[in-house]
Amino acid sequence: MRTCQLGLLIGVLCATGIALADSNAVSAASVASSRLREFTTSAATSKYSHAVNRSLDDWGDLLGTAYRSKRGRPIQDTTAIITGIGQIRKAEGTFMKGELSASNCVVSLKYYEAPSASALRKYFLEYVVPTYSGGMPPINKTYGIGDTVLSWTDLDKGAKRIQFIAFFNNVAVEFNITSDGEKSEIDTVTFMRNLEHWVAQGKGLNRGP
Amino acid sequence: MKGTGKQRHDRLAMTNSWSDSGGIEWSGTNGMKGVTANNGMLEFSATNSTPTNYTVRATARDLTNCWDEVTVNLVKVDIEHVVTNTGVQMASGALNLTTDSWWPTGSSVVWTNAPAGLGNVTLSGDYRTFGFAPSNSTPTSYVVTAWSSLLPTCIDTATARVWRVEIVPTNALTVWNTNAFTLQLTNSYWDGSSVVWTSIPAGLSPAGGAGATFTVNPSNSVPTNYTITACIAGMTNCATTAQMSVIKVDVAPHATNTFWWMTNEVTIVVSNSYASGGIIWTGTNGLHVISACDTQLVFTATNSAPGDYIVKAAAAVLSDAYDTATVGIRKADIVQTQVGWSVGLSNNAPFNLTADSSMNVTWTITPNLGAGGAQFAAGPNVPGTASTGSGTNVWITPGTTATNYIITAYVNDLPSCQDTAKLIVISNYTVIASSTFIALSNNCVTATAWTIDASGMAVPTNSNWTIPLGNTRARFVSGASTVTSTTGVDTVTLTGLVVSATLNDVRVHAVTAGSPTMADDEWFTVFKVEITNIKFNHDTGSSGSDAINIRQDYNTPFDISNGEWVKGVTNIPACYTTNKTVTIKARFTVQPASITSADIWAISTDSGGSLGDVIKTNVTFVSGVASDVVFLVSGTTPNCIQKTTNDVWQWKMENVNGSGSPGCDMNTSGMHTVYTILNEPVAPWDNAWSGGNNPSNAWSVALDIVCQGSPWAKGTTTIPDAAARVTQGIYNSGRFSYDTVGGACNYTIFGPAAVDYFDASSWVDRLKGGIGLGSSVNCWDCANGVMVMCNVLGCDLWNQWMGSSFVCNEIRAIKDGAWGQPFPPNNGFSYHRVGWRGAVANSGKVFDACLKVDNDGDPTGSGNHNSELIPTDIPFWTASGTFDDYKQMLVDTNSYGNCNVSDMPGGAQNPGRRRDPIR
Repeated sequence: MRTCQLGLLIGVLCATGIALADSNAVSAASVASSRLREFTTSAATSKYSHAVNRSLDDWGDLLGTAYRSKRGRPIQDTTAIITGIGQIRKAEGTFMKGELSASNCVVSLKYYEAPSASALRKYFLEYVVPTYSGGMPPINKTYGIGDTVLSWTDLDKGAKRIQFIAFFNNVAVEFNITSDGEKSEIDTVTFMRNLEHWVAQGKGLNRGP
Repeated sequence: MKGTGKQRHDRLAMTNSWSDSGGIEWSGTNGMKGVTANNGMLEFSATNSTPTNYTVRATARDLTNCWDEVTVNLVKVDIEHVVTNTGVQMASGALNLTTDSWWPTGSSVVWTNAPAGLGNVTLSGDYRTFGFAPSNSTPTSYVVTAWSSLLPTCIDTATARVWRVEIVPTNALTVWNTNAFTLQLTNSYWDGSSVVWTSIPAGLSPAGGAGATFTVNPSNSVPTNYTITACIAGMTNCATTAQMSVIKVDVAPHATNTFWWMTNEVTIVVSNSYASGGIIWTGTNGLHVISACDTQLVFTATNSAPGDYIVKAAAAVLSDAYDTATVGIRKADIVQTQVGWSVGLSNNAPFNLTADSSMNVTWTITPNLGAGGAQFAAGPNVPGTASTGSGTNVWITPGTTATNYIITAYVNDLPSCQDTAKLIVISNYTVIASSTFIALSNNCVTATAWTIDASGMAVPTNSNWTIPLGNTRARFVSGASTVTSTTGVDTVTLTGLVVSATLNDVRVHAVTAGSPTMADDEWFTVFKVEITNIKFNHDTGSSGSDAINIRQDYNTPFDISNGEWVKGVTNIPACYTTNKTVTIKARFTVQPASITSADIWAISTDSGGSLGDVIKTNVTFVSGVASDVVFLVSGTTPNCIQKTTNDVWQWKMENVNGSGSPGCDMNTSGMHTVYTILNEPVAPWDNAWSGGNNPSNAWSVALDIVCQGSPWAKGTTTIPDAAARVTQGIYNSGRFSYDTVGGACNYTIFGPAAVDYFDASSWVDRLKGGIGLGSSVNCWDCANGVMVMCNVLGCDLWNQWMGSSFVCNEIRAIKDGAWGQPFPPNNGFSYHRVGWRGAVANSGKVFDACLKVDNDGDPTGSGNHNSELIPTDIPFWTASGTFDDYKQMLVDTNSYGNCNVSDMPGGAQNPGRRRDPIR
């Protein structure tokens, strides 16, 4: 399933890559520049105050009771003062559903909290994005979750793997969800609506992806 | 017409003729010699005249038309040869008339020969050649006559000889040592010549001769086959040959004596001999002949019947030609090996030779103590007085001195052929045990029979055994069964039942049967020794000669304070580096505690384990315990990476308290699990012990994976090979898939400002089949995975950064994704990380477990991937070449400038090489 998924992805890319072949570097640079400009200027006061200053366990509640924190790997929740940005809190945890490696769903959550929305975005651009070998993710327009959603994946349909970062003022949460089950796909739409409801209302529907 | 022979003087005369005073003129005489004309008569000499036809005319000088003529035929028959010699080997012979022989046309020449016997006589058409066939003629001398049919008195004769020689016998055999042997001619004829005899090859005496016979002296000739030729002098083609062989058989040695028991082969050689038809050996009946051929006879004394043999070697073609050798097989074989005899007995000890021994034998006794010692007697009950004996049976009086004697019997004509027996004259018995220590339980010890006066001789009579003291600690056994009766046996076996409380608290008593009756005791100790602990990693501060520091995983240390193996309690694995001589430390307990020492070692009884035998060491016990005894393990640790789980040592011990007690089995240890790696683990692993609380000591859970067989690193002996296998193992494990969505780190955990750690625990869990952190990985994760899993084997790899933002050729991301460029629309990596060996330079070697590249020589473009490669140990960038280094295969040609390696840390990507900490 993973191979098939990657194959489809690459297949689509190859089809568009022909048109881009002669201006590959220029296109890549313009895309990154466009993303960066949109990302840095879209910061606004968040209406999702509920999403702020939460422990990662609270976020784990969003996933529902079927998920558990990975055994023997406690949630990391640390802070650091970063020059030019200020104090950054980062919490990270892995939640999973299922006992068998071939039929589980793994959700990696990373919670970032900065002194301000601009400091968060500056931090994100300087410290988080550089760790992605795929580079800067696009801004997703479908879901108005938080202030901005950066997503590599199409959140309008199910998939074996979805990855996005939702920004809520000075807080960002990175979701990295992988379904290793042969027949299971992530119910992305439901999960995103669940997430939106949770961050808006302070409570969720206890439905995982 | 007048005819005349060639040798006559003839005259012609006129009759009734008249002439005037002018006289007669003769003509036509040209050619005639000795012509005289006397008017009415013409005389001439036929002898000197030319033989032919003459017309002689007589003419009156006064009246020339008055004439008369006469025809004169001057005939000559003259055989050219006086004598002609031929041989029967010739097909033809001939006699010819001289060229001036002449006879009138119409007449002929008649040839005859006498006596008859010429064969195939022919006459040429012109009568001039008389032919014959010598080969078909009777050899003799013939008179051949030729005469004119017109004038038979005109005759000539010649002699024709037909010669022949024939030798008898034609094929002669003669014995070398005869003085004369004669060859003769028969049916031969050589009148008028002589016969010459010759021979080849050289060596015949004499080599040649003349006359009707040829007598040679074989005794002065070289034995061989000769070709004898008889030839008529002057006619080499009239010769004949005969064969004559001088036969000689000579063997060496001509006499040999040998011992009956000698197993070495004895050879009688045929030398300096000639026997064209081979050799026939006789007289060997009874000898154990190994082989007999024309050159030698080989036999062994062993299995031959003792006796004297006359071995004869004769020529097969001439039985009179032979030689003999005398062979003596001698045997002196005493029936008894050892005889025990008590002092003072009036009857004598008998010693006998076996029935097939040689008869002419002398006996001696050593030492010869004279009247006080053993001496030969004339009969079984007669006091002995002699120091030597003879014959096949002797008796010896034991005398009054208890000692050991050597009784010797030797063959008189071959004194070195002898046998000995022992006569032990005894005064008392002593029980001698193989050991005075018996191991507990099934480990038995045999109390070896009786020995007599410490001479080692077994008692010839049955004995009765008891255990009067200590019978609750030991018992007699036979095989696996308890023996209830030990009466009438000379040997008993004991097994320990209960450990002795003190040394020598078990007594065994034996009483001999027979006369004289004697008894003795022996004391035993039943002991028990066990190995209780083994420390493989007995020096946590160094792995120079022992195992390295390992733990189960990040959270779980191994408690090796009492050793990795504790009998019945603990069995923890050990890990060694390759090709190392190592020691272990062991602890033992012994009962009774009064035992103070023993030699202990262990035999590796497994097949396919990692460790050899444990070398024997003398162990000292204090109050029943020996701790931390250092043992050297034989050989070295394996030369390659592996994990074995079946090392078993059978521990053994001997020489309890220095007694020389025989070896016996202790308990076993194992099965020991042993890892073997190339070197001490390299960072992020850390071999420092830190009181057993260093989570970076090598984890057995990681070793369990990488020490597996292909595709993992088992069997590899070098860093490049091991690292390549680990890289391939990760890619092919099927446990990871590349995060083609965003390329996010999953197993590499970041804090707010920098990398926190690589979650090796989850990585290993995932490889072992657990969930880990899921299948999603990026290049950083894979680079860390390669580096960590290789360095736990001692591979010294790094996690190396390269970048940034370069376009890629099509790749197959882990695991076996479809060919394609990663991450649109950039179609490449913002950065990349790989496993790395060597300096941070273009020459560094890449181990990349997160992708396959196209190595078919043209990685560019799409859909033309004919060969794929998991990059292992290939140089990063050679600048030249045709797509044969890592960068050329991975990076789009237009992006080469954006893909470089760096060792300059900084920023979140932290470019450079690194070894992230592990948890």
